[in-house]
Amino acid sequence: MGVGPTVDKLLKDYKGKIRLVVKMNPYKYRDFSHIAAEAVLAARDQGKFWEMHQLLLKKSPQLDRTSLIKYAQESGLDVKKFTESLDTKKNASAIERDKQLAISLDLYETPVFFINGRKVTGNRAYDYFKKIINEEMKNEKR
Amino acid sequence: MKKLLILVVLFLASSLSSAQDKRYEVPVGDSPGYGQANAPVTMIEFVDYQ
Repeated sequence: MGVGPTVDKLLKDYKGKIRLVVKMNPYKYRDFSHIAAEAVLAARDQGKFWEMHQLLLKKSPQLDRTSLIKYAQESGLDVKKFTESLDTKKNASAIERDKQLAISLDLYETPVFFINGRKVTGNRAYDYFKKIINEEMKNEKR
Repeated sequence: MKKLLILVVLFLASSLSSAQDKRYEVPVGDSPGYGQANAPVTMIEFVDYQ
């Protein structure tokens, strides 16, 4: 089980207080990491980033091309456009930009979070995130 | 009185330790996400779906 449910719960419990920004950091030696990143960005281009992001976290590691196209269909995306985007690696430069950023930050694993710039590595427990978020909200009020 | 002093020291120590936490500059850019841009807390996640 990944960190997905923890992040979902944080977004729900701190509704309106947290903005989540997602950067791609696909590991080059995993078969479907890159195509999955292309898939969420293809969905973003059709206004369905969040749905696809959550779906892929849930379906991981079943992220081969055929499965991704099936998920796109289930999410009501334009499948032809989506498939074209995957096959032409339409968002490769955006993914590469994120990867370079990850390298410049010396990130060697996923997930890594930056909460108002404070680094949290790995699948930490809900309470660990909660403590940092509460501190940040307190700082905000000063 | 002694108890109060301990509390004050503990408080200073804890605020000092959080002040020392390193903050990284991570540009948001045009990355996708969820929630309002003006939210008090911005959480940037680097993800690998596999």
